[in-house]
Amino acid sequence: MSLRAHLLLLAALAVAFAASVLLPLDPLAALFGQDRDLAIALLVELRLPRALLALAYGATLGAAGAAVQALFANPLASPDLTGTTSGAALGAVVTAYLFGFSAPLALSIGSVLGAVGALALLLALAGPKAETATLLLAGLAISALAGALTTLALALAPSPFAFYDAYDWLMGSLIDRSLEQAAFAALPALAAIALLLRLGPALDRLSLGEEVAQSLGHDVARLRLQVVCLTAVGVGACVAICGAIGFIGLIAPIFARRLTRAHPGRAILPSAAIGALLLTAADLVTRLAPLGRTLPIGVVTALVGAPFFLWLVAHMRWRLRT
Amino acid sequence: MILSASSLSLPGRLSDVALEIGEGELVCLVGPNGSGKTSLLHALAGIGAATGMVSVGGKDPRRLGPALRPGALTYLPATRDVAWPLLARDLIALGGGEAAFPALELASLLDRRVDTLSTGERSRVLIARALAPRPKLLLLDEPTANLDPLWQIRLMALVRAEISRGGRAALVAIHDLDAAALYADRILVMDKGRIAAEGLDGPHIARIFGVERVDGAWREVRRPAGPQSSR
Repeated sequence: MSLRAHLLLLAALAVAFAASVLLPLDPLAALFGQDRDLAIALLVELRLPRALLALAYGATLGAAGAAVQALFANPLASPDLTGTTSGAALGAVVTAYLFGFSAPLALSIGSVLGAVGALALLLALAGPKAETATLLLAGLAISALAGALTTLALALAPSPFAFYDAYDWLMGSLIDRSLEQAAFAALPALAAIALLLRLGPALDRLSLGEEVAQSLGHDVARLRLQVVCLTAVGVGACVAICGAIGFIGLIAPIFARRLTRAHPGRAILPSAAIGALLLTAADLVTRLAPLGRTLPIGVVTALVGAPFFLWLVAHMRWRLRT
Repeated sequence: MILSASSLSLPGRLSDVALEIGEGELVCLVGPNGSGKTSLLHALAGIGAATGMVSVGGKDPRRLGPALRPGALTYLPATRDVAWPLLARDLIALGGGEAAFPALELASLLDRRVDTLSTGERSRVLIARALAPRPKLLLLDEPTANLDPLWQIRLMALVRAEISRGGRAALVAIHDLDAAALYADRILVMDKGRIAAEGLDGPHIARIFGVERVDGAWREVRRPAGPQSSR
């Protein structure tokens, strides 16, 4: 990737972050006129965690998506389509059922374990070099199972309010998280991204085929385990705080690979940047859309992502036929 | 000695295989489907769970990491699939070398995406990937598959030229017995996970492959009628 592309992405990220903290500008400006301290508190305690979460979660989905696509050698693999996100949500709901929603560390651990379980099940069901159809069907089955178990856990919940709380959270939300909660999601996520970046060269060589990568001195079994665990840690930590958000992990890597001349491993960094941009943009849409109320962010990413996914499937079919 | 290997075993695939290949030698590996040719190449390349001793230029290549392994050996698999639409130039670079083989006439292919190449063109690019790090030991599985007769001849001449540069050798798995006879210094015949014989002259060819040479062409062995013919 060229220096110019790096700088452009960095500049776009800075602009997105600034916009995410400052927009909408009117209430903030008005508040600064009346009560300076309150305005600063609004910036630091409401807008800043939200902006940081959008960047961190988006970057995690982008990096995890790129790594999972590289691992499965398939552009349709992504944390949500392969059931990782639903697994993490199930893990978090089960943990919340046992310990309540007020234990962020337990939630994160439960969520990561759910994600690891879902990814391990996917590898067992579909195998490491799955055909697209097998991969998607196995992912669908895991998502459906995790979704059903999540609903079951909620239906059996002792308090009906828990259901509405959890429903809100399941649709994905960046709103009303504290800086501390943001750190709970962002720190493990950034660590996971940093470690995934180190796997880039090995994942690039995996595109020569699993056997060739092994003959070049890479331990492919270990590589697979590393990608699964790091993806689960990153996605799990974010899902525990913000709920499940789809399609970013599918779309970001596809754009990122255009910047890396199709190298799947090298695409992890730009994919993280593009994922952060996309989720920040989606969050801005939920805030600025003139609907009189706030949209769930998961709905925005799905409304944009699902048609893109359909186009991708059609495009792949068309290319296979010719 | 470039390669020496012994007691290579993999349950159900290889049993106690030993072989040595000297400097400058081009050794062909022939055998029926499922006789263990690919398993042997894998065991030597450090792919999979085979056990046994392998030494390339005095060192166990399986202990070398990604930085040094391509200098010791490279492996060309029989499949020609590439998962991502990489440029041919980038694909060769991923193998740890540079495309400098005028004989493969790659100049017009290097800046094309591998998914837009014909099967034969893609084969040449993948072969260049295996040759490019200039390894001590080349392990090639069906390198001439998908190539037209002219390119088959050119490729094997290139492999010969490469290993004659000193300190190098090649082990080539190949189904075509005539090609093996034409290009190899030595032919190893595999059967049921073992190296069963050397060379193509002798009754073992009919026994192992079920074919025999009649008037210069290979024919199925005519077995005498009776209970044995039911194989």
